[in-house]
Amino acid sequence: MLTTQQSERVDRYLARLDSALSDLPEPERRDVVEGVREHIEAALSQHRAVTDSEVERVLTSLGDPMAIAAEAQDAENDQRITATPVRQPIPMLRRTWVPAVVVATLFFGMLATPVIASFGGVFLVIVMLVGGYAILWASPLWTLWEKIAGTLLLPAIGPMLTAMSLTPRSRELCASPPTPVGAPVGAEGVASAQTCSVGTDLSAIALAMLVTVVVAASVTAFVLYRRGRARAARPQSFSTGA
Amino acid sequence: MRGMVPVEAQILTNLRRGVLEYCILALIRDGERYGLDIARELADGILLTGEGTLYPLLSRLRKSGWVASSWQESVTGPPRRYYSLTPEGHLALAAFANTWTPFRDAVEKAIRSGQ
Repeated sequence: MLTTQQSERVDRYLARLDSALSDLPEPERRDVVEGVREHIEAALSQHRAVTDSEVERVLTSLGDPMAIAAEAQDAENDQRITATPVRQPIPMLRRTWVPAVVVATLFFGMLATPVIASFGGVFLVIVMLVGGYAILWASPLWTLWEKIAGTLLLPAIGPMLTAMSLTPRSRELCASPPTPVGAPVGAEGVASAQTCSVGTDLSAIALAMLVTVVVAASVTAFVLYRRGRARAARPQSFSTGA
Repeated sequence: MRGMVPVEAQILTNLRRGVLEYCILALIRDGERYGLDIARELADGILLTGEGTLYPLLSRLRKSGWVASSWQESVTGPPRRYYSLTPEGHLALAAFANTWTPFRDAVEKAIRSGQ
């Protein structure tokens, strides 16, 4: 048990500590003062009769309240250490495989639309389109304009070819196509769909349009892929906020 | 630490900054302990200048979820707080231990070079 004088000595120390910590937010300040109070009580409860010098020794070991406050202030300012998460998982849509998937589904996948469609694989086309778009837009790897360009241009070739193979002019040609040497008769339908779209009777305008779309889509695919990969490789330093 | 040149004191302060919290974590890695015990073990004048400086650090470690505390009844006096490591605290300590050894060796090597 402490004498009145000893209790007052301890209280004075704790009051100085509390005052030195006044710059800290209330919860933190209370935490530290309570921790120190408990420390003192525990240290002094180990002896039945506590001498004055014992009290002094405990308080001296604790140190100057100003030093404790300085440490507390450092701890507050320097969130660097404990604020760093131990594990930093990269969000799924930032990973390095994302650009590849987007380009594969939207560019190459759509490129193969005429072939896939003729096999009745319309469902697959839709899945690739939806999936590719979903990832493109949800991922933080590209800016808004890059995403818009990707949306419009990446899958443009496939539909373009399909549309051209469906125009009346091409159908005429397809009615009596030159059968490729050695191709089985049953494959005529598929072969004609492909040969029609690059038939020599295509108008110059249509051809120019096709070339433009092919170039634009290819450039877009290349640029989006390269930029996406570069940004995915950088540790969290690029964020479009998208 | 008495008798230390002011420059040394400042260097020590800077060195402690990245490391002291992990030393605290290490002390409770194998089991929960009272604040008093942790303070006494670390207060060698090098890691902790005064026992009291432990408590702001413990407070921050609890705030960041690496240390948890619970109240335990004590025979010899009022209930006391025990401090223990959380799973995140264990992970943090392990990560530090992995980083510390090569760092320490590199510093040693650099300092001894040219001697």
